Amino acid sequence: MYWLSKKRNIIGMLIPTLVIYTIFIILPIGMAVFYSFTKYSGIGKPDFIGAANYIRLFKDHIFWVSFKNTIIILAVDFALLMVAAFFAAILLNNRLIGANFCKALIFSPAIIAPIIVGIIWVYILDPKIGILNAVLKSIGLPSHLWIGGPVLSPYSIAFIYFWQQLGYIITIYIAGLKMIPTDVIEASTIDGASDWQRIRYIIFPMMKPQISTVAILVITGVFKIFEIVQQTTNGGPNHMSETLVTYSYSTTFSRSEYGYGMCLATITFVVSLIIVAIYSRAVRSKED
Amino acid sequence: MKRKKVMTTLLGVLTIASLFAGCGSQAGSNSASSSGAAATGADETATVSGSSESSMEAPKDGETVIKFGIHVADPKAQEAVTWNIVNAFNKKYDGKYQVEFEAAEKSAHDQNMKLEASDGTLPEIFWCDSAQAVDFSDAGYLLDLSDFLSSNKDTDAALDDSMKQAFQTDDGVQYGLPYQANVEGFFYNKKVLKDAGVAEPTEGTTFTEFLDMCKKLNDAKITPIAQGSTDNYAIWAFLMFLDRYGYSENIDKILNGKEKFNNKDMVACFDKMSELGKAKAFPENMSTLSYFDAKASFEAGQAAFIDTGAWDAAEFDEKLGDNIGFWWGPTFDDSKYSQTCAMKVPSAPLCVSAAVSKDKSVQDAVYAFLNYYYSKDAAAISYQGSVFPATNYKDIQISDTQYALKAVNAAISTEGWTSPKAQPDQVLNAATQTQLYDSMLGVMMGNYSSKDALQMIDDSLANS
Repeated sequence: MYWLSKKRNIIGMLIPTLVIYTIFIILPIGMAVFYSFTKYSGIGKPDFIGAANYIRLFKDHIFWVSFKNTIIILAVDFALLMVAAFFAAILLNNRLIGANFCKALIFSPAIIAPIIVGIIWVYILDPKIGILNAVLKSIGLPSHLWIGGPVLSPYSIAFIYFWQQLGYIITIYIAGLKMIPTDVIEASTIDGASDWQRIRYIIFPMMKPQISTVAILVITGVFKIFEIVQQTTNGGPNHMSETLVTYSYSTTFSRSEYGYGMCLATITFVVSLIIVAIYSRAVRSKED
Repeated sequence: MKRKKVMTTLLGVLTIASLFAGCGSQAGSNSASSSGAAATGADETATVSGSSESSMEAPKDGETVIKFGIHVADPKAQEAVTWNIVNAFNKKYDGKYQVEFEAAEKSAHDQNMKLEASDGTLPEIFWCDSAQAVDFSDAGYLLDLSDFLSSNKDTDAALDDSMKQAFQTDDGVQYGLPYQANVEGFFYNKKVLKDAGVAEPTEGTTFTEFLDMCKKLNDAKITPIAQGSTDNYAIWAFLMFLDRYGYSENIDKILNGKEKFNNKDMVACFDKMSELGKAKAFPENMSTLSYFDAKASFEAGQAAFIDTGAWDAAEFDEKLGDNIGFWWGPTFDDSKYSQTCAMKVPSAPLCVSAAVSKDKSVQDAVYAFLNYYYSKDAAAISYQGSVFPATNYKDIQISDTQYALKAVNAAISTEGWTSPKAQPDQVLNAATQTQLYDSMLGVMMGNYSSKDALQMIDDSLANS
């Protein structure tokens, strides 16, 4: 322990991580920001064009569609994963018959590659070949354009992401629940606290670190949703289901507009930072 | 404590070592794939292309090895004709020259070429997206093939001027030569049409008549046109619509800023695509279908027409036999432009890395390959594989069982029908090209009005 407490040794141990972090995280972000001020097709040399890409971005209708879709997905998933996963974790943390089986079942989507998740859900949500519309038709209800239409696609993507992430988030919550001392819970029971009071005044406050972690994971996770969109709608029809990440990708690699694509990536990064900062500040001010 | 310290240090060393080992093997495979160094390169290529055939042998001593960057992951299966031509070349020049594939699916290939250009490891010959080839040329990455053509008269003569001009800059630099000839239009299933009581289209069938055919097919519960949208470039037959509304005549003016895409001719053209959408000519789930899904539904007899090109001819022969027919598409009464338009155009170019000129033996190998690629022998291999070569050799027979190719050949041979110099989308830069696809699909699916769709193309052109 003494060896580790020396500043020199701590710095020595940190250096490899810092070097790797700088090369693979900081440097690419810096390069992306640099390219966002250029016009570049990926071939030859980039031309510096100042803030033109950023000015273009604010006039770009598809950017705003992507932004709106990302916010819809974030709002839906934040609400669902924060709340539903929390209560599901409390439920699964009890000694119920089949609880372990349910845990395994709920966690299983989290181990499937996102691209496979997309394929699975295409067969469920596709307007023509999907199971969902077939079921709706069979019971006399109208079918809908769950994916590939102008309205429902972001909600469908949000639901798919919720389905995929639920087990993972529940696992974090259950880990938090396990850390709550049992004597505190037992004392509240002896004092006659109802289930709701126990959750409201004991479990919820003691789970704040896990809740904050989950919130950050959900926010950053939503801003990284890519494969599900690519596989279910490919951002279509006509970019109506693009998210900021998929729009950045298609602009960069399909349209070969590397400068503008990096501008979109930079804005996506900044927006996610701002949302995380707002959340962190809100949580901190409440704690104060 | 000491033991713990030793264990920690060991663990740290092991972690870093394993990390660098990982990086090392990654770097090794990359360099093999990009530089094509002898045996490792051959293994990598064989793996990527799915080939373990003896015909793709490791290079022998004294052989000059050149690399061919191709836009499919498995050239043997996906570009069988090119695979066969390369094999024939390797056999002919055994012990002297050998060509190896550097294979990746299109988007990965496009990105690889950009990266390899920037670090000086471009394959000697590579398939290049038309929209990017000019940028490669302007950046000095490509060899001017004018000297090659002037010193190889037979090859020069085998390529029509239109095939060469498609890849020339205004100042005469020949930055590429056509990979193949693309022939695009509507293939149709004769049996499906007959069962639905719909007559086969002819080269005089008008758009109004075509709408009527679509209605009858819908009544018979048959999808009129198999069309997807997730592979946005798959709009080939509809490029003919553009040409029949004067696209080729006016595109230079549009690109020079003297005219706009959003003009009354193009609005009328886009209105026709919109009308097809309203007439339910496309699948209900077009927005989630890929080109390959659409093709599967056509081959399964669920759709009467498909928008594609002659590259699918061999597959249609196998799946549909003599039920396959080919049609250039409807004619338009309200257009003042020629309606006798065909679409036999040069496909994307084969480009040669500028670095080739630095090594005489490599340049000789590349020139030998190009001469073979555009030879009559290679053209015969192309026809055998139901692919139209870029060359103009006339007396090569098409077999009786190549139904699709025969149908296409009959359409090409129609007297008085002419093709544009280049495929309409291929004269645009990548951003505008992608917007053209998006706009066309947008009006077909009813998401854009014609004017809005065309305005988006103008905006994209202005931004790029």
